Amino acid sequence: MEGKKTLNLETKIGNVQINEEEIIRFREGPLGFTDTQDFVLIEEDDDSIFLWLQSVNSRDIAFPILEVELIGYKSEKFIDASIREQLGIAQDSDVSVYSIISIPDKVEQMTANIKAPVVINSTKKTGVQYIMPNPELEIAKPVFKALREKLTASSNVAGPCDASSTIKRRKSCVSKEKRLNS
Amino acid sequence: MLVLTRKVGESIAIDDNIRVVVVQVKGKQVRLGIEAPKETKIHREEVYLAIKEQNRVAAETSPEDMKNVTRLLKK
Repeated sequence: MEGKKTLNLETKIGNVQINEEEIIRFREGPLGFTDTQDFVLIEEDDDSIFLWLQSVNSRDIAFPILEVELIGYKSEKFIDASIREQLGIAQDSDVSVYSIISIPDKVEQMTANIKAPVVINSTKKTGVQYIMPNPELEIAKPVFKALREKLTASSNVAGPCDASSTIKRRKSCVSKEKRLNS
Repeated sequence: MLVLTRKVGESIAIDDNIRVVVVQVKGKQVRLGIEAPKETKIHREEVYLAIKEQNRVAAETSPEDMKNVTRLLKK
C-alpha cells in the first residue's frame, strides 16, 4: 500500500476504502449525468454477478452494472475504432464492457441496456457510456430469465471481482476486503 | 430556433465540417443525409431520451433492490 493514497468513500452500500488509482475517469459521465466524471467499480458480495458503478463525488449516484458477456454478448462487439481512440485502448484485453441494468418493482422484469454499454479501459482507467450505432441493440432488454438460467446451469459463476476471475478485472475492482464496517 | 426552407437535394452547412442534405420528402416523412466528422455523435433524439431515462431509473437502484434480484436469480 506504500505510496498509494487511500480515500474513504461514502457509497450507496456503506463506507468503502479505495485507492486513488482505482478511480475511473469519464470525459463525460453517463447520459443525464454528464457532469459526474469520477467513478469506482465496487463489488458488494463475492458471489454477486453485479457491480456498482459508483460516483466518487456523490454517494447517491451508483449504477448497477453487469458484464455483457454474462448476457451472451462478446465484448469485442462493442469496441470500434472510435472507442479505441476515445479511451486510449492499446489492446482489447484491457477493456471490460458492462451493461447498466434497471430493476423495476417486479424484479422479473429487470432489463439491461445493450444499446449504450459502459466501456472501461482498466489499464488507463478511462470510461465512457457509448451509444452503439446498431439499430438492433435494445435500450431495455429483458434479461432476468436468461440470467437465471445461466446461474442455475453453472452454480459457481465467479463474481467479476472474484479472485478466480482475471487479473485485469480485479485491477479495476474495489474488493470486499477493503470495505470498512458501515 | 433557426428555421430554413430547403428543397430536395439542397443542404445546410453547420460549421465547416457538417453538412445536412434533404434526400427525400414523402408525405410527412423527410429523409436526411448527414456528413460529419466521425467523432460527432449523431442519433435520433428519442434514443438519447430513452437512454437518459433508463440511466435515471438505474441510478436510483437501492442496495435492497440489488439484494432482492441476486436472491431471486438463484432460486
